[in-house]
Amino acid sequence: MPNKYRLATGGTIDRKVPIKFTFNGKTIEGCLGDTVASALLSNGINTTGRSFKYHRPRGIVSAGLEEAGTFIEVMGRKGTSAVPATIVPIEEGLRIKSINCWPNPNIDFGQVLQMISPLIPSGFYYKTFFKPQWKIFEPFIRKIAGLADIPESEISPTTYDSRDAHCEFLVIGGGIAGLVAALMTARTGKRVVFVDNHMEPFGNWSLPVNENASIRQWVRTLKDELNGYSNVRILTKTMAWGYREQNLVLAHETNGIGQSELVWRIRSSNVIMSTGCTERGLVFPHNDRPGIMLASGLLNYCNNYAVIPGDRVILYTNNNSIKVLAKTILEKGKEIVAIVDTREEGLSDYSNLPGNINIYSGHQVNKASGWNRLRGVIASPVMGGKSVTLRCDLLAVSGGWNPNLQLWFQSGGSFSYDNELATFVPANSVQDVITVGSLAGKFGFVEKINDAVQKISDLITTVGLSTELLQIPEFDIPEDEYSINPYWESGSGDAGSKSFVDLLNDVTLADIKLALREGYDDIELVKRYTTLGMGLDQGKTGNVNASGIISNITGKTLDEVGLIKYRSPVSPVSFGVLGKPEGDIVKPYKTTPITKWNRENGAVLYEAGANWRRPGYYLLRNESMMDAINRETLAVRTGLAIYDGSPLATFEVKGKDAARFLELMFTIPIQDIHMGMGRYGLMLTEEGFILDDGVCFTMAENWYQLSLSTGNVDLVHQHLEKHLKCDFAHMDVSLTNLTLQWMNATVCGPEARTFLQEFDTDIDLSSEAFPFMAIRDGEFNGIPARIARVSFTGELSFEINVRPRDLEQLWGILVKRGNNYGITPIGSETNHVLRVEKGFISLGHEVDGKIDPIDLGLGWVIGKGKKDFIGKRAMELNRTSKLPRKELVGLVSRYPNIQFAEGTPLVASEDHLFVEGHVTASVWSEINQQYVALALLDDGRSRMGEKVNVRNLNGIEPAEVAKPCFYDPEGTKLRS
Amino acid sequence: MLIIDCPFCGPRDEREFEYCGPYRERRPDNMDNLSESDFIDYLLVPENPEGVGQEFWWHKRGCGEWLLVVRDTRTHQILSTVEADAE
Amino acid sequence: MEKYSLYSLVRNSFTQHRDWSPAWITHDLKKNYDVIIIGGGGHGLATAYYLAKIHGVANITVLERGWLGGGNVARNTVTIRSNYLRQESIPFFIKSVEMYEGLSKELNFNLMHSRRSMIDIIQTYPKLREIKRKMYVMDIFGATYKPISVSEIRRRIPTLAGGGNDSRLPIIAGMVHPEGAVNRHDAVAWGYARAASSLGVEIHQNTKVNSLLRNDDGTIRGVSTVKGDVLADRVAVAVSGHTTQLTDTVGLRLPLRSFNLSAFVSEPVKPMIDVVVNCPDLGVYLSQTAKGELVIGGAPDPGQSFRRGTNQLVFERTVGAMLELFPSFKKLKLLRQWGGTVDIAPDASPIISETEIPGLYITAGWWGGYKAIPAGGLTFANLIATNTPHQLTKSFTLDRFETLDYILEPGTTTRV
Repeated sequence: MPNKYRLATGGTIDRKVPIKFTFNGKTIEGCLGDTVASALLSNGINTTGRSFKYHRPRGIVSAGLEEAGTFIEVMGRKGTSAVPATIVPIEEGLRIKSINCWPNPNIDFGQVLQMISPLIPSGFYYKTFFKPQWKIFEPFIRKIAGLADIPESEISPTTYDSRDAHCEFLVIGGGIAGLVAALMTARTGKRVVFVDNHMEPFGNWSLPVNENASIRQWVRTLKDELNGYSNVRILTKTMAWGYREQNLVLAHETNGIGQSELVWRIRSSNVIMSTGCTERGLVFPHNDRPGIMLASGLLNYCNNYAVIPGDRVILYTNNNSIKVLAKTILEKGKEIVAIVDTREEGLSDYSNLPGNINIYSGHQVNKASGWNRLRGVIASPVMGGKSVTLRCDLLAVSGGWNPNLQLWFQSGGSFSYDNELATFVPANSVQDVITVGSLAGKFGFVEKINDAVQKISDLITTVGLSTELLQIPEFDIPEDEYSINPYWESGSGDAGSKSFVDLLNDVTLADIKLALREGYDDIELVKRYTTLGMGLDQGKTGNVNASGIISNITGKTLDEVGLIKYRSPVSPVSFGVLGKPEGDIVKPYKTTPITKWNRENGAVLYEAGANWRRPGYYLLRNESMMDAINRETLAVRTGLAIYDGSPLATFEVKGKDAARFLELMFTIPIQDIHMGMGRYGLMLTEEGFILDDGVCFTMAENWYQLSLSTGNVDLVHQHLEKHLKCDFAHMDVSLTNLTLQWMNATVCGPEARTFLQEFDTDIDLSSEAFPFMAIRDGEFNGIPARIARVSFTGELSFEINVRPRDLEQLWGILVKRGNNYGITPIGSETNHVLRVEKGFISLGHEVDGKIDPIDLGLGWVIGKGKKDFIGKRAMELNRTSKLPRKELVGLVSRYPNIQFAEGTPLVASEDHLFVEGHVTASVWSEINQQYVALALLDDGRSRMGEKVNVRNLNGIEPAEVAKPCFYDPEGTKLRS
Repeated sequence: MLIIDCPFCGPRDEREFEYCGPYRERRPDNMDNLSESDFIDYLLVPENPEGVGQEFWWHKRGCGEWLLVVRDTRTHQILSTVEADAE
Repeated sequence: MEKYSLYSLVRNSFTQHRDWSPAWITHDLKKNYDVIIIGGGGHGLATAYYLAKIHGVANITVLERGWLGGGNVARNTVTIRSNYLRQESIPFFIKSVEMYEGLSKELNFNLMHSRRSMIDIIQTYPKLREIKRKMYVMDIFGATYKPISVSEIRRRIPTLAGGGNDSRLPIIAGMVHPEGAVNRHDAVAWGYARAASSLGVEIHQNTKVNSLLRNDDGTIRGVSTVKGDVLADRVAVAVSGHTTQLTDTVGLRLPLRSFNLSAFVSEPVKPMIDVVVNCPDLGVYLSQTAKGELVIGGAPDPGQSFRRGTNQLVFERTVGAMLELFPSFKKLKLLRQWGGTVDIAPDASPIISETEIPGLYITAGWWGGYKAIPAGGLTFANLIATNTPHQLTKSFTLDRFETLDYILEPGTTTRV
């Protein structure tokens, strides 16, 4: 019979709209408004899953996020990993599966684990399975652990996004105290964000206090007023899950399973936390039997879903809050078999309940019986005495109420144990946050309102604002003082009759005792040894009980014991919604204006440092990569070639002290660089190692342009800026990064000048007028251009810099007219070959973080007589070290076809375990018809002609040390 | 994720800034006057306070200015933000 | 020491596990010890164990300010590997990985050491160059690092669906490091603590050291703790991120900066990744625990820090990087996140060294120090016992900074 346990009337569900879904393949009917949990309960399905470790049958224990009993997997398009059954609304056709069981919760083969349960107490895996080897056992353990499978996301309709919000007041939690706080702060006119994880703030109209007409009316007016403020943003169905520095609160908004998700980063000057409280369970043997649930959960099912999933109900409590449930159940016409209350004074609390209820005050439950379904409990007087057996199929328990401290913990706030309330309450805050309502330990309805009114008034005054006073009507509701007698455990605590403290992770009282006995005496050690509170629910209903139990056993006070540290997030949040701090694209590419041309002409493009995507080489039909590079290098050496040098870093340095500044930043002298000329130099870190190399041009008086490496531009920019702003702020210097403002086409090869002279230009390109290292401004074929004669290839080379908008045109003309010369576009791989042939250095190859200019044979770039530059002192100090220097050398083999792979170490002849250097670059030199390599070698420069050992994966390959230059050592071509 | 109150632009998100190292004294005008141990100390031994410390942040994707941020390393709360070279 | 085995587990099950003896013995804090080790984390406990075991030092105490193993040994991503670049580092880490492999049996405590290979996912050519260089050097010292094809990577890590040819950073190569492993971090701390305790080492929790004490002649005298002064001729500092907080109290200035490095885990899911995956170009690495949680690590927070927390921006960037390569993890959920304080030297390499204060020794600068616990403890114990650096760590001494002789391991540095 569908909906066997559904009450005929009441609730917020719509009985007229039936909804069918499947649970482990079986069709279940619920109605609109049901969660998976309420639908299962209304159909009398008690055993809804199995436990993580022992595979014991488990049911539903709550009606909210605190659920520790039943996690499910949603299958198909809206698939999820393990989620609490209590928060998933049912939909037509939804497919639901239980976790931790196969084939289903009633017949679970994993249940064999219960037979060996005496062998697997907490930490058993630390004591065994390491002989003969853990790897024999590991696959099996891994397979039975883990909850759900990872859901398929390719077929998922879920979309993810993130938003930032800023406000003066953030109110978290839409209970009555939160509602009051939101309204009072709204009246200040300042920006307010109000976050609540329900359908609407204070939307739980079925709560008993809301049966009171005057309260309903009053709350309605509060909400109406609140909705009218344009300065208030109300985020419903939004869970605040993280609290970071500077009052940054993270909240997760979703419309339900498989719907779009949004993460909010809310930054508020003041945070008002009213996250409420959660009921905890009671610890007794077999307290996990399906049919045992939290009183608050049952109350919720009664009122919201019109479900009381049992016929014989017993209530078990240590406090008087359960009275509301008792009254509600009786009003709904169900029978209460008994109330077991550990308090002696309990009797009087129930005196005005109608009917004949057996009240067992001063009693505890010693044991629950049943297997797949609760059959009864055994109770006895707390002080000892005769026990009674009571039959029941539903047991509602209340172990007291715990403020939801999860976010408070994250904010850095401290907490203390409150004896009256028998729980932990917030103490001192670290950030600008206050707590109101039941979170602050105010459990009565009117008490919560007064607490919020008082604290919010104070807060508003403190921050220098004012607000209209909130009128609070007199409510005619009976309010008892909360009365609790903390009762941390009952019944036999032996390992055989399991009393669960953490239902989700199957941690029992005996486990905690074992941990303490074995010396794991701090609560954090107990947590780690037993896995207590480490499940998906982070122990929302069990952790305080654990503290109480530890206090009982060790004799420490609860303040000394403390509470397991709650960590972010409050409840699990999907990664999909967390992965977009800067939008959809990770590390966007930079491309140059001729990328389209490159693609159309066979360029093989890839990341080339600093997020630039550029050609490595251009493949013609039927060519291999090697063929292409050889063809391109020969073109440069013997004819005419062109490459896109746009990504090269370009900085402009201007000002009266520009030269003085650059003298400090570079190893070279700057003052004497003639107008229109450049000089190659190095930039060191203050630690004396090479940071970058490049050319400094003098454009005019007090005006310099730097042309530096592509890959290091961000680091170099920061380096220059830092020294300028932090050390040389008194200097008159302005530094501008022009990397993206100057694009260039570099024309190189012996025929470069002849070719370029064909064009209409006001720049004299002759070698007399335009020598090597010169720079000239003018017009080139009608395009404003700045042309530099620098060369990274070792050939005659003209770098034609133009505005980005002009590059495509320039490139087009050069390529078109260059056809007569067989102009060849070349890529970065070819450039690499050419620079290795010349022995030019490259960052990341020859410069590996601890290399100085002299190591590279570049001592000549250190200005003689320069008193100071960044890194000078450190370089000199480092050179006093007794360790050998890694010096740049060339390496050749006796056999032209032997290649020393890049990165291979050079090992000492006498000790092959001693690395004395490594190959930094190695290329096939088409012009030399042999492989050539560069290397860094201990004291290498004094070892010319020596034999060294290149150690590759196959063994030792002999090599000969040579000068690090294999082409045009005099540099005549370069200067031609 | 910090909010840094740039004296030129107002409070801005960390995404606009780059952290540029702990505060250090202005570079000595004449490095060679330092003793070897003073030099090593200047070069390699930064303040490492468990508590309030000063550091440089660059408003790179904002106004481009360099800021001296006083921040508590225990809580990451920022106590003040001024221009780096404000003497 | 009570022997742990399947047999003892069965035997104890008959008495419902009521008779297990404590894993470590509690003592009253004495006035004098031969050696004081500050820090009851992985390195401190391992050092105590090897001092007692190998060097026969009898009178040792470990002083821990909080609970045992509550520092970085409880806060890392349990990634164990020996793929380093410099010859100064590689043999040390090879030794450490080897020691881990036999440690469960030696300590009679199951560390759940799982040698499951680490696979580096390479997406840029500069990284490929660096990684190949590592491969060649490591081969000399006997560590393995083998190229693996992209299709083989995808076969071994089926969930790795990103990084295709059309993506921002296509996967261009991969490298397998078969020695790569994970294990159970708590077990490492507890295993060493239990073994050390059985050799007579006293472990004192909740005993925060406020300052170091010196004699008039400049030598170390002992420490001042919340429970009073404790004296010893040899004091060893093994407090990960908080080294300078202690050395500052005697005016010893060290080239260390502290940072917050955070990590996070997903909810537990069924086995889907059997290796440790490292994606250096995107800056994320992950593995799956025996329980099924994915453990994910990324970059440190910008700026020095003593806060054990999470910077939201750094965290979200790490998640974004992970989703680039593992798009199906969108539906997976974040379960817990945390941070730890680590200190780092200018050359991003460890320090195991005597100091200018006779009798004071430090082990610090551990960035990824979890993998170094066994060899770190072994070599630090050797230094304390003999006053000479162990052969494996002779480059890790403080005097290298006097002439700026950096070791410099790439891939681990924060160069600001």
